[in-house]
Amino acid sequence: MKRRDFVKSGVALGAGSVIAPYILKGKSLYKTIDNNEILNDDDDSIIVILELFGGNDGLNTIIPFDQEDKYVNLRPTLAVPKEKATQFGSSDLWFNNALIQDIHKDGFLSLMDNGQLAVVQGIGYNYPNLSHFQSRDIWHSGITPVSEDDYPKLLEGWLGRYFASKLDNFPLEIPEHPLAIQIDGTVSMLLNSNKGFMGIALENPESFYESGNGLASSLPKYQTPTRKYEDEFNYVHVIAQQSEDYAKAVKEAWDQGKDKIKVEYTETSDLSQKFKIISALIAGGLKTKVYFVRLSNFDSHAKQADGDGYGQHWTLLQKMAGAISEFLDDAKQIGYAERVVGMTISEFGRRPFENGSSGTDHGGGSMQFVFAGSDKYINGGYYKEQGAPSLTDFDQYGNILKNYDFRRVYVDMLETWFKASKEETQAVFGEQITSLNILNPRATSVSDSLVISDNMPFNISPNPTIKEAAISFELKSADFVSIDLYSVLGNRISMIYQGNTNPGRYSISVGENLAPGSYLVNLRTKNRSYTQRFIVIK
Amino acid sequence: MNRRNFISLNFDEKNDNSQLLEAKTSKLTKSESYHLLRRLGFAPTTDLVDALVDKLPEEAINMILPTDTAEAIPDGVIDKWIDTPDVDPLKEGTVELRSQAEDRLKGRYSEFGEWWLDLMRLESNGLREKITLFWSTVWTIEFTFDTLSLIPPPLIYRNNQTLRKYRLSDYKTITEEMILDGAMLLYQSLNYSTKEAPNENFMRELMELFTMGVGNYSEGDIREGSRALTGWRTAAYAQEPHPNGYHQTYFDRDSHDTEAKTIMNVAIPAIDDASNNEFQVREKEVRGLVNILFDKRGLAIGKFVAEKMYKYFVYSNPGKVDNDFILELAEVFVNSNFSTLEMLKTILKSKIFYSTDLVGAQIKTPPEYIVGLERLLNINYSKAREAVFELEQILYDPPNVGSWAGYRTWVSTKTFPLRVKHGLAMLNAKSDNELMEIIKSFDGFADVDMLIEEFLMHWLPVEITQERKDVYLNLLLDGIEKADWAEAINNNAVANGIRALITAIIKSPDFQLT
Repeated sequence: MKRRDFVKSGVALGAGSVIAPYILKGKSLYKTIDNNEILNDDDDSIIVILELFGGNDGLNTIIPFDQEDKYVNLRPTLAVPKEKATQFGSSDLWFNNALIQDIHKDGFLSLMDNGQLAVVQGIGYNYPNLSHFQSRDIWHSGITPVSEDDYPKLLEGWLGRYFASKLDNFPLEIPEHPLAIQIDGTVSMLLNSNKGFMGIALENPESFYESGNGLASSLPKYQTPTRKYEDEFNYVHVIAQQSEDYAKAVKEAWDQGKDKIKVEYTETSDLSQKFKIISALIAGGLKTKVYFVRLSNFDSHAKQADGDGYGQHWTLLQKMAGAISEFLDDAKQIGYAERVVGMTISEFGRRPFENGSSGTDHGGGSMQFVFAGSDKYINGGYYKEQGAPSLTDFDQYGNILKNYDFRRVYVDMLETWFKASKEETQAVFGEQITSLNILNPRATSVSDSLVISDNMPFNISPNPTIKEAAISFELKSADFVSIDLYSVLGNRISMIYQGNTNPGRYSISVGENLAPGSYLVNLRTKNRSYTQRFIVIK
Repeated sequence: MNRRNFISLNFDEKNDNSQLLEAKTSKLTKSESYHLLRRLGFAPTTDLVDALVDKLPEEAINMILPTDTAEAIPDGVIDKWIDTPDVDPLKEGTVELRSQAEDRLKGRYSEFGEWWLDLMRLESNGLREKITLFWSTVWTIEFTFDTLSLIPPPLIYRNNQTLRKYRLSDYKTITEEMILDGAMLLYQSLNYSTKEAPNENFMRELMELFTMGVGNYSEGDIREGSRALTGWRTAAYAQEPHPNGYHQTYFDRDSHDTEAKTIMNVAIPAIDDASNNEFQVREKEVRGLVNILFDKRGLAIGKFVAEKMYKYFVYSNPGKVDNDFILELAEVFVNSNFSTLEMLKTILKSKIFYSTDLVGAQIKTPPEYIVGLERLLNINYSKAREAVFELEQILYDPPNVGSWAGYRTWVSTKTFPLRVKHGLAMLNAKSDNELMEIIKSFDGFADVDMLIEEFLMHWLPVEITQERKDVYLNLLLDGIEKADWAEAINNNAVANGIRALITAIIKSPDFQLT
């Protein structure tokens, strides 16, 4: 880690700008750290998270027309008419047309075609809580109930906790640029930690700059905390200082980036405009690692749709698909596509059956989208269990059952995209959770034990195979290596290899006695995790 | 651990904690008077502060805490529409007509906000508005509650008057009034709830967010309670039935579920056709339901409300000691038949309320900050409502039904700069002469050392270091020798110094605290 080196060269800004709650009396150092040196890898990877707040109706987003009769029975007035849905090839993936029709470059249909999109069906958690806030807190914190009566008091987010774990001396040392930006009025629990918020909120870079410039010029000193008063004083002081620092950083990026925008973002969609800001900030060189955006009003208890399939839910889906499609195309055209992945989250789905007010009530398991700027780094497709979502087997309250713990995608984000170690993600979630392996890691030039050629950390050959294949890799320095075989749904089937491994070339056989189908091979070193698809035909 | 066990455990140990509620027996100092008045109202006048000095807390509280149930008087602007039923925008034939109707509602909603902020700004010695504001953050209503609907401003106005009227009454009464409140019926979709399709939304939130919190009820309680609350309607719009008059709640007997319900193992018996009327259903089912909740979950409700009140009036981030206090307070609340007056007075009389650990440890809410500045500068800020909204407390339009998160979320890298911006805008709207008047309203203004002490006590929550005082004194003097101060102020020649002083204070972290 390079932070230690950096700290030495950090700039002391003098006695007036000493930092706060955990201050050492008399010391007055205010330091910043390069954002790209905070995580395990010196790279510039970015995650974009879009929250669909209110509880998105998954069944009317990706429509189970493979179970058409059951679906229509459950939703006599709310079922999306078949002519308002588009089947992907001959698969059982049916998009609501709101995700495609009148959307930039055919929206999610072309993203799926390009291999940039994954649909994960059946995500949720055990003992679903149907309160918006409790359930949103569960999604933000990544801490799930362990029983029906478990209502943990949740205060910190999974990203907040992870970032905080990488910032030992926060806020004595803060990231040079905001580590995370929520395009919104306030910062959500997602970014909160026991050290404070690991990100900022802004709605508009220009006004953010205007209001932040000059704030820290005449601040009184931080105070030694003896009472709660000083704690709050120092908190406001930190905010004042950061307001000015970050205002300047954001403004600089915005000025550099706003003219690099290539795509026409929908003028009438506030969500598209927010993604435009994100795109400009990335293009302008801001080193922010996470962007968080929210689209509200998914709580469709009543009047969710008009009789013809249009209505509130349709409009919201259009906004979502439009903004994501415009953003990913812009990323490609500007040239930062390889750095970006993203996902939607929503605190819950809706009940499978409609209520009496042309709406649906809070439900359990649902679905989410995972997307990437480049198809290289995502295994696009439709991730679901056979027959899911079940429209006949519900939980005792009539909710759709979940197949996957929603945190498995978070783990993918942290381990594959941010290169977190297993130990680190275990610390974030309090338990070991397996990645769904939707993402592929970016191969960066940074030192690693694996020799990577042609962006391939390991080889499977032949692939597809009719009997067995060889996994080959080369190690340039000794490392602990483990190779596991997973189903495409992320369930571990078997361990292929595990052990401390010396430098050299290796070849290990896989595939004997496997039923025909698609598999995932995951190879891990101490710091890295790589996944490739493996197909058996017989 | 199960929260209910946790609560009863603490109550069993109450003897160890009973001193927490101990009343302060000494008379109020000047800074304690400031503290009391700031927490219960908005930036107080020096006259009112002086009037409380050397009073016992009980005596002081009785002077400033009226218990009347009068409504606030509408101003000439909102008076034009508070009794006028409007058309439902959704029923307008064309998009143009619909947006016109919506704009009308939005305009009136803004006028309502201005009226209420004026009440806060103009409040003198009887403090009502902070408490009303507190309850409106508990019993949330969202004006723009989904993309399709707006709550008609006359209903918001009535909700506000109801909260003001019952602000110090027992919590059962507040709960019953809010269940049948027109804005609430509409906001929570209870307005559409029928026996065929009872709406579960409100019953869940009534227990989760307004009375006892999660973990104290079952999904079954939600379903059964929802059935008891079927049939209530509000006459929100001109096109609708209004048996009790416009903007009044009424009962639609055909939509009410008359079968028996069981909530928390207590039965509400089935009613016969003759009893299925507004009066008896309100008595047996609405009040009956409230009684069941308070009988069966009294302690949970006590703790829930005590925590809300403690966080609002004392300290927003309670730790262990605060929680012990809250549990004690909950018991006082339960034993006084859920009297919110009793609970508030117990807080304001307690030693803990005046402890130096907690004075100045609250971050000002947007109305506290903006209205407080208006009062400090004696100005009617033309953008007061916009400012409060920009600072993220859009009155009667919280981000969601869970209300504002409060505490440190009020000050962020977004809102801190805006707070300073609005503060400076108000200051810049003051002429030099007006600033002179402000400074001359302090006793002994001709003695600059005394003046700076009084001024800082008036503007900042906690006494600051001598070093900082000297900085501020020098700003105020603006190059004038101390010996020449009296003459300079008589010549009205110190406005620049006053401006510099107030500018520095507005930017300083402790001006965000109260």
